[in-house]
Amino acid sequence: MNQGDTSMKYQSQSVAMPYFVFAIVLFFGQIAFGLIMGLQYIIGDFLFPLIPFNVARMVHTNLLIVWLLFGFMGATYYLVPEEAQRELQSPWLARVLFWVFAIAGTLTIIGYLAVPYARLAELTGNEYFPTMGREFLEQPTITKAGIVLVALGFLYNVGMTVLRGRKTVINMVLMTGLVGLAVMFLFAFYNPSSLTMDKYFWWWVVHLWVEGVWELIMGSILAFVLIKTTGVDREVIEKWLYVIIAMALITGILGTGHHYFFIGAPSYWLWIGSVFSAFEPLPFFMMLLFAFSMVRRRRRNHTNRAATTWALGTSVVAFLGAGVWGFLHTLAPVNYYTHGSQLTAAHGHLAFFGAYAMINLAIISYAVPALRGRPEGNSARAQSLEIASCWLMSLSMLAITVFLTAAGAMQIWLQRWPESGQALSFMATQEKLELFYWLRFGAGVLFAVGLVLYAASFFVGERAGDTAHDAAAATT
Amino acid sequence: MSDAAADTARPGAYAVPGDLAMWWFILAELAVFGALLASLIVAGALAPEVFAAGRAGLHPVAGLANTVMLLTGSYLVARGIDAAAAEGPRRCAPWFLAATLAGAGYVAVKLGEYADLAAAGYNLRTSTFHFFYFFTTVFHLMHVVLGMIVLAAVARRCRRGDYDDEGLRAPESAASYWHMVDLVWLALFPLLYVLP
Amino acid sequence: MSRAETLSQHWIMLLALTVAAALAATVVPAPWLTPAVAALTVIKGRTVIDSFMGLRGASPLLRHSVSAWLAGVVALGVVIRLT
Repeated sequence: MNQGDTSMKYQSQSVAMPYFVFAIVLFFGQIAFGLIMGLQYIIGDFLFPLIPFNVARMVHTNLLIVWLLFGFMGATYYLVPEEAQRELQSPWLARVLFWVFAIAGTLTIIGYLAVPYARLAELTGNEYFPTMGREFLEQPTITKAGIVLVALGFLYNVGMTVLRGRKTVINMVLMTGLVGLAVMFLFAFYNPSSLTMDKYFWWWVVHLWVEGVWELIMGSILAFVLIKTTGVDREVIEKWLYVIIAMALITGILGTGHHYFFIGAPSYWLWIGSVFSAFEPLPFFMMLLFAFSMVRRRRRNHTNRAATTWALGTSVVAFLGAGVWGFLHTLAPVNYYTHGSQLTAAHGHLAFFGAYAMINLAIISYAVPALRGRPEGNSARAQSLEIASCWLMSLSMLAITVFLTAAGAMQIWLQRWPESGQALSFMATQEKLELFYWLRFGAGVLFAVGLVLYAASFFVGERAGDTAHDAAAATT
Repeated sequence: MSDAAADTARPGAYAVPGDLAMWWFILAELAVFGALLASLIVAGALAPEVFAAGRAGLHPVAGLANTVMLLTGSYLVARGIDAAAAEGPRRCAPWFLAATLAGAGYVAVKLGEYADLAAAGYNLRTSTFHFFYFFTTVFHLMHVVLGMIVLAAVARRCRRGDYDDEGLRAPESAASYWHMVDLVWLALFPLLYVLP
Repeated sequence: MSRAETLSQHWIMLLALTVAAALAATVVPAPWLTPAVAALTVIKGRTVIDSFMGLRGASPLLRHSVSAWLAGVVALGVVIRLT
């Protein structure tokens, strides 16, 4: 089968490389803090007062968001020129913005770790324009402003490239997703004093990112990888992409309602949130059917099997994590008991990993070998290692999810379900969950091993002659 | 998704009218509307007096006019497909455009109803009935508008001759979507306007 | 009869049934109203599905799926309202 059409075609695609590398570096940081917190669940004063739990949690979640954003930007810089069939508008701007974003992000994380949060707020002048102190949006106001500037430069750069080049469905869906991402982030600056209003619009950032516009980004990156690795007609892939994103938006936007059940919003949200989130698994299910059916109908056996594995893997794990585990607790009568329990943590872990971490790992797996002059993928040995890392990370994250689900179910049983007076207190319940927390920590260590293997696979079989042809031989 | 059914054009004998991808979308939409209608039915049974009182404030003739507009639109679309089957895709353009006019009539009547109800002080929060009335009809109205856009776009491309060599897949997909919107209204109409 | 004529007949019938459903609320005695309106809705829906959508000759799986949707919604309405 033919293997053309796969190398890096435009010089400016190479600006993606530092974004990908830094994304993986931050991913390592995220996992390190995840392990620290995993232990703090069991040994409460582990690393106290050096790294209190709330700081570890903030760093864990902020690193996640930032590394995913670096990955999305890298993916965009890689695929937009190829889709638009022209060089990036300004590779120079892309390189400058990388350093601006990387330095600002690093300083922010150092700020979290070096000084108490209240002191950080003081140092960064939060009092003049208060936006700090809200989950996931803890960044100092000046960091948030920096993010907006980086996003504007980024959107200008890729927007001009798309406008002046070939307009494909993939580019258009990706641009829509990225513009939506930037626009929704603006609600991070809206900080009303009413707690209800605050939460209401906070979800416009958080939910409309991960269950709205990010799904467009994920869908378009997945479609790109599938076109490249399967050789299926663009027309067919684009048609399914349309259907998937339409369902994602219909269910995702109104699905925001599942966050409005108990925050003081009007009671009709109980109906809207329950009905529409019940169908939020649909777009993910369609993505799963789409990925597998495209691979089955492939017209070429691309030698980068690892990238195909990640593409299929992301569709499966996203469906499980975002779809199935999301649906588990979005019906209002269920959520009444499960709200903010370990069940939420279970869903959050598998959904973020399956949908957004894995789609980034998929495009990195496809693009980085090409950027390093191996359009046919890494060596066969490297790919085997990478595929093993995909299985190890997916299965250990599934294990984390299952253990947290068990912990959540027990938590609900002991702490939420009984009549008041008979229910266990929060801390007494946590003690009962210790076994699950140990198991979760063990699965977390395996996940970290998987990540190390993934990174290592890019350096295996670097010797000349040990690259693409091995892989070609392995697939035929 | 079997290979044969999925994406290969088989002129003459369709297992489904239009594109399979469109039917996935239609079935997904029907599922969402189904859950919404089921919620409406259950909520109505939980608070029958609230629903009876709310229904009394609606304009029955408007509901009737809405139904007539959508059925007529569906009829025109079906005639368009019939004409296209006989004489080629270009022939469906005038029928589709006429159907979008019927759709526009529906939109006009609905907006008039909203204006009247708003002037009388009703909104989403007035009662459970009013929530369901406004929410389901606005959600449905957005689908009517989307259907009109799809019909108009396909009509334009039919007239330009874009589909001359492709059979009826695109017009049939657009038509199927429109009929779905009509079908949902047929179930919604008695629940909102007719039954006490 | 040509297909165009059949479609026209169905259209007229659908309009007549719609008016009938609207009038039913004032004419039919209360206990029979729900079943009567449900029957009218099923007839109308099936006509749209088979004739306008053209599913009569289509893949049975698809035809049954769409018909099942209609039957499910109407049945739920009847069961819940009568119990």
